[in-house]
Amino acid sequence: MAATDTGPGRPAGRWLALALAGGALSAIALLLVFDPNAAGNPLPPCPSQWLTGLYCPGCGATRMLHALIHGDLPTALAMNPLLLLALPLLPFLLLEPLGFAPESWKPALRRLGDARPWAVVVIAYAITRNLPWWPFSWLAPG
Amino acid sequence: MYCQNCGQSNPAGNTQCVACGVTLAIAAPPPAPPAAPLPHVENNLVWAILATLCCCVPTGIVAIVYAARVDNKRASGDLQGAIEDANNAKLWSWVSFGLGLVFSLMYIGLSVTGAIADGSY
Repeated sequence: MAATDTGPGRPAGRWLALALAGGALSAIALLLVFDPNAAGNPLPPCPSQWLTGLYCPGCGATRMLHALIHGDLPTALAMNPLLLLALPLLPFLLLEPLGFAPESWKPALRRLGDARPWAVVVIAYAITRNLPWWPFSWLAPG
Repeated sequence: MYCQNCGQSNPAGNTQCVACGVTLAIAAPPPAPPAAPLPHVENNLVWAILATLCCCVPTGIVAIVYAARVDNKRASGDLQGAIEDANNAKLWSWVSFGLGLVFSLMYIGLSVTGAIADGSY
């Protein structure tokens, strides 16, 4: 059943957690070596923008993380404000799916993980990022 | 039902005992079973968010919309529908991760071989 795919103590959650930690560390290592702002760097651009010219909710994520890792918070905020704000919440959203959520945390985690407000915010973000006027232009990367 | 006073058996629906005339206790309706809390349905939101924000493919938004439908349907009591949408949310997250990975590998391959000169995104 979908609800109990990765319950507490199940190995699937632990492997997934290890894979995610490995992915995050590799991303940090890549961003320490390569600069996404430099011409000719091998870091991939946003496929959506590459194909359509429109900004997607993830556009600027690479440069945002690069700026964050190098301690440049203003640039990080300019590149992808939603991802920067969501970043500290992601570990909490991962707790229950990975099976690490303490029972007493679950009500709060489930309120945070209600997908309805997230869907509204992400879709609104996808649209408003592409509007050329202030204050929406502030949401676009750069 | 039986009279609580004299024990006479009375036809159902009588308000007075046919033998002693005492007012019959109306049998209390069986207490409603306590509303069982709806089981939690994991909406797979976090994968949908990671797919949308890290892979930059529009299918990630499809996954987030399915995740939102999970919570909507669960709130309205449609558990079966919620579970189906949870599986859809997971499926579209994986599709997004796959598309993002394929694109990234293609791009890295092309940029390493020099086919793409500018990668300043």
